[in-house]
Amino acid sequence: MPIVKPLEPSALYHKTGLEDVPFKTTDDLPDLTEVIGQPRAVDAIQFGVGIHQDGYNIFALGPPGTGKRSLIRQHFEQRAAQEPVPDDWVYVHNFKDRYRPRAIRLPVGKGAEFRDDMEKLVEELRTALVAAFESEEYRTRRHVIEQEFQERQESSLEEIQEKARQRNFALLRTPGGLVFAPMRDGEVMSPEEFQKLPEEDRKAFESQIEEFQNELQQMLQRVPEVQREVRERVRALDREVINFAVGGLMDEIKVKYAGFEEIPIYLDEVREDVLQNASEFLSDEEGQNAEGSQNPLAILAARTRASQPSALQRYKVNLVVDHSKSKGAPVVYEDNPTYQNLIGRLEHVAQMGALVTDFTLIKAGSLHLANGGYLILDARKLLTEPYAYEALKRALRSNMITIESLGQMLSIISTISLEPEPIPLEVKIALFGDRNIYYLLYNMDPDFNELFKVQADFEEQMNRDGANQQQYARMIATLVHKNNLRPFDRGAVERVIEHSSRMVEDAERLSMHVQSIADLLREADYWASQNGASNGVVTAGDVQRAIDKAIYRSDRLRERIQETILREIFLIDTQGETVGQINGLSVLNMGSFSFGRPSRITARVRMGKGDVVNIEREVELSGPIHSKGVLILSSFLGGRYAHEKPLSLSASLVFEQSYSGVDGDSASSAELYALLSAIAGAPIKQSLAVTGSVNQHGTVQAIGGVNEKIEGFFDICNARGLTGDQGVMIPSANIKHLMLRHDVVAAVEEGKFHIYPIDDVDQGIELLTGIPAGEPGPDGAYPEGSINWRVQKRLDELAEKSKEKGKEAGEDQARKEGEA
Amino acid sequence: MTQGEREKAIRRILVALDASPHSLAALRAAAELASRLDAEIIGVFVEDIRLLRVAESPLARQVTSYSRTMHAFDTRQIERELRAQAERARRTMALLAARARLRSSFQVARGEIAAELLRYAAEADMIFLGRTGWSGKRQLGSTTRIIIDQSPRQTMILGQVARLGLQLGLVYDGSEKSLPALQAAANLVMEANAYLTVLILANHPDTARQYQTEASAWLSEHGLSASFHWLVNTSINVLVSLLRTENLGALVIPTGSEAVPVSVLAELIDKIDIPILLAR
Repeated sequence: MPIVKPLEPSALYHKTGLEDVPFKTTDDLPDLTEVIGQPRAVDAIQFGVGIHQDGYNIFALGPPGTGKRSLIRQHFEQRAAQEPVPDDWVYVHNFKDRYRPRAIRLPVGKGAEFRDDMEKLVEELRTALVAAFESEEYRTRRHVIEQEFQERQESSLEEIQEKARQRNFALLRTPGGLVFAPMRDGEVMSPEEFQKLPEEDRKAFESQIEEFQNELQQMLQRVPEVQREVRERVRALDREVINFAVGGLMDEIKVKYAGFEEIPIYLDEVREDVLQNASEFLSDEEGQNAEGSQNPLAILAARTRASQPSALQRYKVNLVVDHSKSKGAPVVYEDNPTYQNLIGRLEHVAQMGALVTDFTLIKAGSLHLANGGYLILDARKLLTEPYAYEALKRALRSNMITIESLGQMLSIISTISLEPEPIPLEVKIALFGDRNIYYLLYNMDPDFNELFKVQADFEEQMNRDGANQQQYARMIATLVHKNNLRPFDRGAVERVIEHSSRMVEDAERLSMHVQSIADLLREADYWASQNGASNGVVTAGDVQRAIDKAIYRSDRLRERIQETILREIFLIDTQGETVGQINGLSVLNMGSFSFGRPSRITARVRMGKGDVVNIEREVELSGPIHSKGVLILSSFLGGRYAHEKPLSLSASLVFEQSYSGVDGDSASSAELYALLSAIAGAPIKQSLAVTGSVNQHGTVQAIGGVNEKIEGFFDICNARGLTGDQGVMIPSANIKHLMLRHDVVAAVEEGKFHIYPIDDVDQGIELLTGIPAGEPGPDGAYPEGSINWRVQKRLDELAEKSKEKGKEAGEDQARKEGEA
Repeated sequence: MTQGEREKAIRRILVALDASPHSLAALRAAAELASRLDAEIIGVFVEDIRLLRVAESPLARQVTSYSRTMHAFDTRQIERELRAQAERARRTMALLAARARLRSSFQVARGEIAAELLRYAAEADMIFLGRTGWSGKRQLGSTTRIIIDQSPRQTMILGQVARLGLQLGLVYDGSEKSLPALQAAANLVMEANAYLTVLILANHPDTARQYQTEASAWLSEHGLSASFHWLVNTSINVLVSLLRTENLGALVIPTGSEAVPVSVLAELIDKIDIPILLAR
């Protein structure tokens, strides 16, 4: 088997080749007009925008910072610009049911016009009515009617009074009513006098008085009838006067809006209402009179009336949706999608301690504003606002916007509230959010896939080929322009592209996390300004500084860990050879920053029943994947060395000085090397560190965080001084992920550090021990002296000893039984 | 006339109260004037002896105004009703007096209404009356008519209008009764900063001219001026229409003069609804 060769420096870092693109700085690059690297998402959004069927709303899923919102917005806006401006909507008083305000649709711009016209009309109505009712003519006519009534009353009373006087009776008024009394000589007769009268006369008086009383009663009973007649005549007069005063004004506006279906009907209702209630708003102005009264309730009521909207308020027009200044269909992004911000709300005003509302206090929500167009919402915010998601679904399902106050919906508040007429809804919604939100909704909410049928899945990375690198350079230029940054020179752009590859840990891919790239550009621009940016251009040095500074800001822990290793508190050897001991590599993730650290793994073996004890697992510090890796090791051992005999060994593995959990299988190859070294008694070079997982056949497989792991070991060796022997063994499959730091690449170039690509366990153990692994001959035996031969031999010895022990134990047992 | 004289002139104002709307209007006007003159107001409520007498009659039946039903009518019932009415009048007066910080007293008498009022009037300097009482008629009530005829003091008659306007009218007929009327009008003009219009009644233009000279001489002597209208040989209707067009706030009429007998006065009061002061 050939000895593994270390990787060439060129394989460790994939440089950007932008030679074909002629530019000096980003100023020479044209802006991108479309989003790159998201063909799937763009296709989905175009489909979603184009299809006009219920339920084809869009959910854009992908990690934050991949430009979901801007891509959606861009497509919506492009489309909306070609679409007609939707209608205006107004709410008006419902004269048939005051608790259900009516919604009226008006063509663009007519809403505001109608509102202003009605306001003007009301102002004119007030003036016209006041003038009409204060006119001499009206007063005289009203006076005539009232006087006539009074005269009729008086004359019938006088008639009775006169008749009574002629028969010697007086009609007297008492505080409570009217009484008849017999008279003599113009004076009321006293009871004594009356008693002195002959019986006949008394009887006559009595029957007479009864007659008068009946007559009087009948007359009085006609009074309400007459009063009603008077009221009706006054009302008829009022109607005549009002009709005359307002007719012209009403006709004028009615002619203007004759073409709009609902407005003339509404105006007829207004006219009828004015006729019925004119007196109400005339008295508005004299409402203050009660202030003179002593009754505190009356004063309070009068003050409340004064602060209350006037009766004329109900002829107002509440313009909830005004598109008079819009161009094209609306595109709305609701930043705070609360229940009320979405579907609109009813505001209240406090009156005498109670909260009241009317149709003028209806406020539009973003669904109203986006109606006829597009609405963009952040799925996470929508879901965290109580009831907002449910309300949105209800609106989409019914295609109606129904304003209901939360209190009403939950039956918390039972005072009278409004139920505004629902408005038809036609809107395209785009939600955006994390993938897990999408899958959560998809699995948990049966309505979700009916209402959000279009899935726009955003990529996190794109291929790093020549064409894409060119596009990427243009994207960088666009971001530079958009953020008003200094131009980036060619070197800086290349460095950004390389860093983008490092961000996704893949030399053949580029990151689509636009937000991080933009952050890097802004920070590089800042450092360029700190440098005094000689020619006003951001260079690769500035970009590198931005990267280094960002790392420096978050690598406190890495520094501490390295320090403890260098001070030999954490024991890591970087030279010499030891049996059963190896340097493994792990990655620690600190939010936006992750770094590698070496860990010592040791193995010990003794005779046993074929189990490999994972000490981490015994104390529950091992994650399931780590445990799985260790179980694979015993399977490998048994499969390769003990297929005909029992594996009579007991081995234990441990991550030394690990006080928190261990997970992942990237250390399984290292563990296997330690184990083999312990069984064979072959020392391992401590100048090497190992990463890679292993399968049951001994093949070494890819792992994550390869760059951080290499750099983690390099930093320790570098700090102690590079010896030229040191290096890291990585799975060959990870070569394409290498985007190593410049100092590592430089050390490799100088031959002071090595990266070895490993395909299987035999290659690895050879490199680590300097002893050939040994391939089995035709008889299945390994060549003498090879690692595999040594392992096999040791295992055979253990099996033999174990068998003897077993036999002895068996004889002992038989003897004991015989004695018994 | 000095301030002192004027104050002496009217110190006690009598208001006839029966709690009817007109009587309450009279009360308000009286309170207003009293506060200007710093006078005392005396409210008098007279329980009509006739009603009490009727209540004693076994035949008495009352038809109530509201329910239009018939009830037995006895002394206890009427006394209760009268007491309630008096109480309403008293409360209203107390309220007005307290608000204007007036000295006031309230008395309840029993007897013939007119006679009782005239008895109290003797102790007052001015009388305020409603045009009609509870009878609700538009025409002058019988009690008011008697008071007009027999009142020893100047008397103010009020209808629904409870305020004295700024344009004051005076009927001047040259008789000796005209002088107290002029005096009373002058008092009001000075108190209320009003304007005075003198309506001169005469048989001949020459007489009218002579009256105007007299009146304006008297007025300028007291530092006042006025505008004049001649009504030569005219009917009461002309006077009424003139009063309406002039839009007067109150009218002062001399009583007992030949030019304006009581019958004419009553007709005048019937036809115009402005406060009328009968001067003596």
